[in-house]
Amino acid sequence: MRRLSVREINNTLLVLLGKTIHGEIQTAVQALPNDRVVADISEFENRFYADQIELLLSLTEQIATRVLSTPANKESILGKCSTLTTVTESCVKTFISSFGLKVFRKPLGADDIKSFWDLYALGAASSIDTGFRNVLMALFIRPEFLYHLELGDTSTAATDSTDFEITSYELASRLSYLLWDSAPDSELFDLASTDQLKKPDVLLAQVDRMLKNNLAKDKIRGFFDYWLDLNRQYDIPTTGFFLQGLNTVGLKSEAIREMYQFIDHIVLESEGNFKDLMTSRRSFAQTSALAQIHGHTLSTNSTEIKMVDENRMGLLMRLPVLVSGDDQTHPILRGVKFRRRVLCDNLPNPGPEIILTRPPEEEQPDPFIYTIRDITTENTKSLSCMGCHSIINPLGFAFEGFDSIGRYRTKELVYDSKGNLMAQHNINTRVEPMLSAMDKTATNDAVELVQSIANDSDGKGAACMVRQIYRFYQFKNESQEDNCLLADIYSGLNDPNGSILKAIRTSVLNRFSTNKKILNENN
Amino acid sequence: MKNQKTNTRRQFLKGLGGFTLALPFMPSLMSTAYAQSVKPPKRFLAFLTSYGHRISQFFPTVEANQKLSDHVWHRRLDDMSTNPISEIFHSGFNPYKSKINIIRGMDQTTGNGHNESVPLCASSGGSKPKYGKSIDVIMGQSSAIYSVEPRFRVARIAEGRSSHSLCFDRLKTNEVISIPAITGNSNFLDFLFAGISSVGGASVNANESAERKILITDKVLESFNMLTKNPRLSKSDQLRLHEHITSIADVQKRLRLTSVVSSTCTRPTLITKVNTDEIYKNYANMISAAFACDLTRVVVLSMRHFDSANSARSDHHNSSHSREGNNTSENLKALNYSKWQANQLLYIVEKLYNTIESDGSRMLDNTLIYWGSELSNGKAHRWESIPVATIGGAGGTLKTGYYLDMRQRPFIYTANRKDYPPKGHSITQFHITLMRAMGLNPSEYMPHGDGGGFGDAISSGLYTSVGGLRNDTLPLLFTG
Repeated sequence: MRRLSVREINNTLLVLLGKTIHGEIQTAVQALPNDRVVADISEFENRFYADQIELLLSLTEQIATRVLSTPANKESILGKCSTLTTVTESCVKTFISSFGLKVFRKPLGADDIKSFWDLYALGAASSIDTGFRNVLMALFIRPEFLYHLELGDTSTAATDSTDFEITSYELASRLSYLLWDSAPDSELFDLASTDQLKKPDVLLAQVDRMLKNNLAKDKIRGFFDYWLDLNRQYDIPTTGFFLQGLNTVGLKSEAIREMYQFIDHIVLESEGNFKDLMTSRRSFAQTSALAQIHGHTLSTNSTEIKMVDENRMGLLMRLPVLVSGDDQTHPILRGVKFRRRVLCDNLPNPGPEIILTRPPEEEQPDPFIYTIRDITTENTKSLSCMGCHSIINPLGFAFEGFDSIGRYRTKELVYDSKGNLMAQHNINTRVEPMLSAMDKTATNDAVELVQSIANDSDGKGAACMVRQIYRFYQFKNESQEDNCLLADIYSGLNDPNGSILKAIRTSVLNRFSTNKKILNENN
Repeated sequence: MKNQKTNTRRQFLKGLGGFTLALPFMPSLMSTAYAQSVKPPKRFLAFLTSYGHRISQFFPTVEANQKLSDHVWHRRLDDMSTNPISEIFHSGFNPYKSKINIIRGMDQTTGNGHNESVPLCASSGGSKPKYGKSIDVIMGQSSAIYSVEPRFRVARIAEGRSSHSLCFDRLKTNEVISIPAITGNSNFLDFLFAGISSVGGASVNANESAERKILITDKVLESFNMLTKNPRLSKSDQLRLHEHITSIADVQKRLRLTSVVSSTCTRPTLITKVNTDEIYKNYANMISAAFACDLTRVVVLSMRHFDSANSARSDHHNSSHSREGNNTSENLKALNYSKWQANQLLYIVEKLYNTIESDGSRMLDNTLIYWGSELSNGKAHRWESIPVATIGGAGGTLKTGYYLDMRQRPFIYTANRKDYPPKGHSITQFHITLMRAMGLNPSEYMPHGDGGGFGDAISSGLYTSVGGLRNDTLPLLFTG
């Protein structure tokens, strides 16, 4: 059982309340503590702490206030009840049933309807609005709204089994949050109400329909943000001598926009696979600065297809992935990121005894004489460091052909603090990346390295992407019990006709789609 | 009072809305225990910054010249004439020298760079502590700090890339959880001063709103309780629901205090943001107002490490982790960021100094401000001499105005590396001093650790001579 994330709450409120009211309650939504997962899905605290509950209560108060604030708002949510001079019990109960179904994502039981009616009646003794205020506030603070509950049909089936079939409404809800981070739409609800959704052909058609929705596109972009930590804070360096005339105004936002367009193109438009993602040369740069970085001229018309130059390819050689925030490339950080995020290698943080083996600062090589590669190699040369750095450093060194804002380079330019050019070092990007143990294959640069990852017969990169898709879409780390599902997703990605989209589809539409297993852990 | 409120709620149940509740407004009961006590309460403010500082820029430029014992040297900060204490504690802090303590030689003795739990927990379990709870949580739960239920036991602010706080609680299941914090001036204002008007006291609709929320949460609790009985919930899910139920009960306790707010307590007005400085000025104003209203006595403010509004400092991670040595450009960048952080702290100090309490004392003297970080030297990710300082006297239980140097003498270095700070004492001594100064009894914090006392302090060979002191308060400073 997982609580809704703030993003899910916000998206759900948009569906339930419509654009106008949703816009009016944004202050209260944004007050909820940000629960975006940065590095590891287990960072997500699957509980509402007291402070959060108080903020949720304020949010429900805001929702009720805005709904009741104008006749138009009232009508949009309360429907017929809002226009009656005498509000009947039948009208209120119809509202509770119909709106409650959307909020709970399942039909309300008779006890629930009575409970909400009692709340209405209590308030309505003062005014009709007060009655509705009570109902609206209570709806949005109930567990059925705040948590993803999958309990199956306990009225007809034995409840002592640890493995059971979820209801059609629970399936609709599962699909919509997995693919959209949002509540089911009317089509899903309709299919759930007639139990049609569980039919394999209907289910497949619905998933395909949902994947074409912009909410699915947002979620896919969100996956890439999570996978490569693309939302991290950074600034494009402003040092003049480092930039060498590059106009960085708007560069950051353009680079992010371009990257998303690239992702949309690979995943959704061309239904590309892992290799396409890693090796495609398509560029969508729309400013001269980014076009300059990508090594092509600016498009003169919207239909012209542009390609990055021969020194770069794919997702990993784009500015948002390569940028460091200052004018240093930080090859260790790049190497760690690629190892952990792209290859799913388990790299522990260095313990205190290992950090001790780093040479004193005054003994470190002079950057005016040595390259950052030389310095990094020297700093990590001890046996205890090399346990991890033998596989970290090569990945970082291979990308030394790109500076800290992703420009291709063959020389490492070293300046003093006044901006005087003190040294120009030739860059060596030839490495033995050791994509798998004992692999001694060398690559000459980042392009060859990425091609190796994309073509790796062991499929390590693709397998890692499968794990990351699972973690992001299922909102939990994989366990032994998930091996079958992971194998299915891998097939979706790596089969001859496989694609990233198929992998995502498999992560939500698979042999476990309509079942639930009770585990005594965070399931 | 409780019965009166119940009756009033009954009135409310009969019909909220167009009339004002007959809830009596009782200034004499406001401010909870504060109004009943002659002496203002003690408050605690943790001011936390990430990624450490240049040690040479943080600690005083002169040596502690008075020997207290083999490993404890000290010096009065105000015997430094008109010189600033250090580059980071610049001349702006000079008027407050007698209220500051800077403690050198506080080590995270289990060693680990970048451990977010260190500032408040003295533990090394990675991003979460292995043992115990953070000291803000322990203080928030302490009867020494709250003799009656406060509006907020702890108020937490986290500015930064996410609202990830550095505060941790340990549940009965032994699971350690990270406690969320509020981000943003207006969010914190709305949260902390909910129901309080800008002219003083509870706002017109505050009681009505609180009563409605209590009513609704009562109803919702029924549904949560029903749900916990569902056999298709796993044990962990049932536990989660029980936690939720407990949290709702906590919120209801707070809501019942809505009317119990001083008529002199006003909702602060936010100053318009020009750059990042105003964000912290607003926090300072809100914190001092919240202390004055006794809405809370424990606040944690975690500062951001990234400030795109100023390219001279921009990213403290990059600047604090850059090469030291003679690289003046990098040193200056690191100093710029640390000084900027210090300036935000200075504003809070000035604000509390200029706030006069009901007994005529200054709020700063009744407050214990702690400035801490998780690292000493950023580049080397060192854990010896983590930069810590206190400002304010905690109501007289802490001697102030000292540079206390707790490095072991003669200096000994990890692996004989003289480029690292010399070894000192366990930082648990510092945390314990903070808690004792706030009035906590050892029985309140000793259970929250690795079995040997508060926190986590596994002694390596270099800590043998001082390892037994981990549960002691710092010498000289704590007056008992």
